[in-house]
Amino acid sequence: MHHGAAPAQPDTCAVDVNDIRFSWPNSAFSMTVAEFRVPRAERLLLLGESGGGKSTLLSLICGVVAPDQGSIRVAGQELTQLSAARRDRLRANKIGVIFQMFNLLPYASAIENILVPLRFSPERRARCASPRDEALELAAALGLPRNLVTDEPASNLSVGQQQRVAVARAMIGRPEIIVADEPTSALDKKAQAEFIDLLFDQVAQAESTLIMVSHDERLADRFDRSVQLSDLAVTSGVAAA
Amino acid sequence: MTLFRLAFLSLKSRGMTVGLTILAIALSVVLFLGVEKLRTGARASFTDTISDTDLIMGARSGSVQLLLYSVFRIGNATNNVTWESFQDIASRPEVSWAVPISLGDSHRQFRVMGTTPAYFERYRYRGGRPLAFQQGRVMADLFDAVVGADVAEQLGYVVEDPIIVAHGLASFSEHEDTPFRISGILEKTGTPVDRTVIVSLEAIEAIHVDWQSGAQKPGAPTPVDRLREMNLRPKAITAAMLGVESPLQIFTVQRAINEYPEEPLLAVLPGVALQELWGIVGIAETALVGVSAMVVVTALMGMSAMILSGLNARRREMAILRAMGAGPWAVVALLMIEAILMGAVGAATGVVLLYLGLAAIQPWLDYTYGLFIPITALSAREGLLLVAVLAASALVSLLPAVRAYRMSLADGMMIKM
Ligand SMILES: Nc1ncnc2c1ncn2[C@@H]1O[C@H](COP(=O)(O)OP(=O)(O)O)[C@@H](O)[C@H]1O
Ligand SMILES: [Mg+2]
Repeated sequence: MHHGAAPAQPDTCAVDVNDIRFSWPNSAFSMTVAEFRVPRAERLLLLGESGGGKSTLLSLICGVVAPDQGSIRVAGQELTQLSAARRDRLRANKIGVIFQMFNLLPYASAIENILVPLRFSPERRARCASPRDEALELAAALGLPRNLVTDEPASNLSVGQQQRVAVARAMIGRPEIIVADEPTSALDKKAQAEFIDLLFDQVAQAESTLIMVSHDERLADRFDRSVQLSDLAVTSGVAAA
Repeated sequence: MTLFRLAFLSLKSRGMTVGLTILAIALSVVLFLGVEKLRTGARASFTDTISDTDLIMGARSGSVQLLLYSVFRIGNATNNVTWESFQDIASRPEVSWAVPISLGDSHRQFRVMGTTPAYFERYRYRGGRPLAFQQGRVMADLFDAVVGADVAEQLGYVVEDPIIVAHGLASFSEHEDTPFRISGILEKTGTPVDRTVIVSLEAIEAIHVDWQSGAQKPGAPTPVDRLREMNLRPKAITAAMLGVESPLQIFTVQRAINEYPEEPLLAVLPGVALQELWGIVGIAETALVGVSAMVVVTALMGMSAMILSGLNARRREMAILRAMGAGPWAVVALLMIEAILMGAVGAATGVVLLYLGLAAIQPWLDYTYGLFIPITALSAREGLLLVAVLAASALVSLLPAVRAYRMSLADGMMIKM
């Protein structure tokens, strides 16, 4: 599934960002990133102040927004050469996303939440022989009681449980890249450590690349590498936010 | 997990608001379909009231007026037709049969109609059905009366019961001195016949022997025995139903009646007069249909407003879907599916309520207004309305959907809470 003129070289990078500039349409915020590479299967921690532009960078990598200039390669595909619809498709196929909190559709059960990405990604769907069984396996591996996963609406789960369901949802169909935006900020210290253990287990099993955002520098020694956004990007207009 | 299931679960989680929105749509559909059913039912019941009669003849007035008072017993004749004129027309070679009717008296809330026994042979309703007796037979005596099914049922009459015929409509002065006897009770027809007391033309004359311009003549009433000996040949009738030998001659006879030199008469074809009536009623019908259509539109706009007002609270839901790889169009589709689902459930509920309601008020409408609304399947036109409700649901959801599209483009996939 190659697109455009860019040849699909055997990338060693899951994410390769070069010379991009981006500004939000309705905001004074703008950022430029000269170079940002994440090798395959790396576990990377992205640190930075709140409002610094970490989530914005993730949105760019996920192809939800497009840079005004520059190049973003994700899983070997040049995003800037893809239409918005094709970027959506690429995100569905290649990236599992975890948010800080309120990750789940509250009215659906955990298992239904876990299965949502397969609806949008034929590629990940194809990797699941039996989606329901795999979702249940993932949930079990993440320590979620089965009846909670199948019978309760997601809104009845504790925050910690919801975050673990979010991991299962990100991991289903083993996408190449996991993007986690401050997934531990809503958890207490003990739950944080447990969460990261579980996440790393899953990422290692699937051989996925992990890009996790946090403003907590104490997590850094658990990752292969940690990067400060301020070393990576030049931003302006932050005060206007 | 399909978008359809997502839409369903999302709606279910907002049960109260969604329920009320669906109810509003359902009630608007009930109103619209109810108006349709009543309208077509009333038309059908009017059309079914007379068949196999080629011409109706009466004193010159409007053709709709003539039809209304002669067939439907609505309103009164302004003038009578003399017996001589009637005989003259009836004896024309093209006329195969003629049944005179004389209206103007009443029994309780029911009209009394004088006619000849031929009426029972010639009157046809609902595509050619003849009248039938559930009890007794045609009048044999001067003071015999045949009553319609509703008259018998509402007043609890059986054959041989005496009845008193009042002079004039809603009159308090009753012909107490001339008691009638019920000789027969007709089967239910669903026409004004059900609400009519039928006597002979001579009986009508007999009732009026002692009356002049609506008041009783002074002095003792004529004894019943004397009445029987009198010459009770009618002097005038109200209208007449005519059958013509060949359909080709209908217009010949009609022209002859309309140009009758001795007195101003009018002959109408029942079907044509009905068409004229629909022309008049049509305006009111259109207004009614228009108003009920507006109610449907209002309910659908309420749904659009409900979806719109819920959008802000659902930004996160959409951001989640976007992050999972849903394009903005999936968000649009989700909202449209929700709207169509609500529209569909509303329409279906409306249809169920309509039939429950029809079943409940059918006997009452029949009893009170003589309007029999048959419980039939939805007509093509009514089905079309349901399709239109679904289409309009999709249409009105475009506004919130487009807004959601813009929102989810602007929000990206990260929402700050
Ligand atoms: N959807 C958006 N529309 C407009 N401005 C946005 C949007 N998302 C973020 N911003 C702005 O971009 C800047 C960086 O925000 P963000 O990337 O969320 O920072 P971080 O994740 O590091 O806290 C802020 O000034 C914020 O107001
Ligand atoms: Mg952020």
